[in-house]
Amino acid sequence: MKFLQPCNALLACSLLSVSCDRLDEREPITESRELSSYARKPNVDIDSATRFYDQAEPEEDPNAPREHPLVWKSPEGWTEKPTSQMRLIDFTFGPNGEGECYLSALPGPAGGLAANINRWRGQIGAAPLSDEEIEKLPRKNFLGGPAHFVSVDGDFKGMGDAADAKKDYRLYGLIHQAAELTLFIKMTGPKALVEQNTAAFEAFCASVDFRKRSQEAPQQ
Amino acid sequence: MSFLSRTFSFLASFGLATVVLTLLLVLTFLGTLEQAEFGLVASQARYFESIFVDRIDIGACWRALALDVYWNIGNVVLPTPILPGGYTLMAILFVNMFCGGIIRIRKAPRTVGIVISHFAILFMIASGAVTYHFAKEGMLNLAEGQTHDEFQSFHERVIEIEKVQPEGQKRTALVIDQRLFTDLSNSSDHGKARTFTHDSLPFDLTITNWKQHAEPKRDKVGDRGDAVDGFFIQELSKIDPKNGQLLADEALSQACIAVVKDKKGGPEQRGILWEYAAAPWTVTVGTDKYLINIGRRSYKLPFAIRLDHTEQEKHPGTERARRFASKVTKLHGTREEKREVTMNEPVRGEGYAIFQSTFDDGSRSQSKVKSSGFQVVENPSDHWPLISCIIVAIGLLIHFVMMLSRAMKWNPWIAVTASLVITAGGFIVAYWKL
Repeated sequence: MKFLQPCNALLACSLLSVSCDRLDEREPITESRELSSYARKPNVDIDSATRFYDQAEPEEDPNAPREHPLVWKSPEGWTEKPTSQMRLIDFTFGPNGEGECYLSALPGPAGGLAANINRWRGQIGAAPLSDEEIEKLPRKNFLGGPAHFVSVDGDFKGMGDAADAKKDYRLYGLIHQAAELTLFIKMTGPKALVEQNTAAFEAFCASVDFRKRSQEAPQQ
Repeated sequence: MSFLSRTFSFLASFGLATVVLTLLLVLTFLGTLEQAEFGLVASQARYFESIFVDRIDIGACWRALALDVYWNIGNVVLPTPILPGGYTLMAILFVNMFCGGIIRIRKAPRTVGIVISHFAILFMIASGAVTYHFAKEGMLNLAEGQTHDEFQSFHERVIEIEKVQPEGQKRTALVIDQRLFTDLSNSSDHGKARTFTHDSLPFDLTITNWKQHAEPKRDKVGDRGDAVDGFFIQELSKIDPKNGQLLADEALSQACIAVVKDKKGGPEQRGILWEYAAAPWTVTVGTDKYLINIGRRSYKLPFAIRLDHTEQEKHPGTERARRFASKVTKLHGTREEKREVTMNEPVRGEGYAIFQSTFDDGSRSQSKVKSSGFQVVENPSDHWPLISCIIVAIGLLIHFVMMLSRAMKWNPWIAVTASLVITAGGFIVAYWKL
């Protein structure tokens, strides 16, 4: 009997220590790794709704006409077409509407800068560029910052076959990469026509802005 | 008979071989049945890669045999490790075959073929062990024009902590292996948690409420006690609604709660880590920012791969792919090597094999950018099973020809030499013609 109390205390302590162990288990981190130089740039300070793809705003009336998220100035002589899911701003230009210029947006890095530039180059029959060559590409002002600009001449096949390629075309492309989405402006058309509209293209690119930001700007 | 010789006799005995092979048969039977409810990876780990089988789900096996149609026994589980696992049995079989089939076997011309075959089987078991301990397997997804030199494991998950550095600086991450957090599956309120520490971190990281397959859901009503930043972890069913089958391990999305406790006593921060999150969880401690995420383990390749171009051929009139091919460039510093990967022709080199696994013409990811998924395998014993099979075949051929020549009263060595020459010649002709 005289051992009963210490035994009970020991039992209680051991039970307590087991449960405490679960709650307060500590483990030193012993492993580390160096990230590749090709690894995607880190996305910092992204809110939970964006991280978990939950951007729904339930208060919004689904039938209400939606405001375009961007503002821009349409160049003179260009014809604006109705927007689509892929083309947020869409123009044609030229005597018969041979030239086209549109703005599209995709979530995240959209495959990366190099992939998109080389995809465009592939559409006009040009060889892909290396990462170093892409880094040396000129920049143009777009959405308040420098964006990679591509100008390529060749036979434009777009997404179609090379046999149907349109001869002597020029492609201008502009890519703006943000943390959560990538915006593209692409202009294609006969080389001479695109050359004539270069200034209009640049003015259009410089005029594009996010609606919210443009509304906030005067208050700052 | 001394103790040592008795032990050796036991280890080399046919009786031990019979018991081990019977148990392997039982393991294969039960493991295959349990796979229907637990999935390939879990069954493989429990039955074939374990020292002991920790539990046998008799109910799952019963249902896999469709016997529940006649008598539903419910969830019957044998929770005790009564059955040795595949790892143990293969180790015993290795010792048994080495002692019996190599050391104890009578060395005579007529047993040459048997010894060769036994040696080849030992080699095959050893190759299995090398694969288990050293092989790495994973996926590398590249869009056209993209370059990378890392691949991600199919099954191994980790939690990584990266300090945000100024652009251009070397980036490193602390890594927590999955075996240290995949047992923390109880609710955070019930305390199954583990705290991870490192001298370079200004905080301790506690992981709790881990789920093998889950997604964060918005707490619309706002009444959930386990909600973090307006979201809670919703556990998902592991059954594929399309076909009623258990989802493969690679399709599962793990999630957990992470709690950051400032070592200097700052406020506690809580976040949800989710495998498919668009971005890591950002934690600010003092003036520094840290990114914490749960994801697949990354392995570094000794070279970089750039996807230059993809090609896809479809069966005429259908959307079914007949052939995928990827033109890639292997980059070793400044040296470039052009290669082509197709479905059945991997690129091999430097201990790695790169297989064409998936293809996207841009429609699946809605990015319009063509991309390829490559399965990357690093296995030091890649060709060992093939080599051991060839050696087994040679050993058995020698043995059969020896037996035949004894019965036919031929010169056994001439018969064996002739049969080996004919077989090798046949293989050379077949290889040349095919």
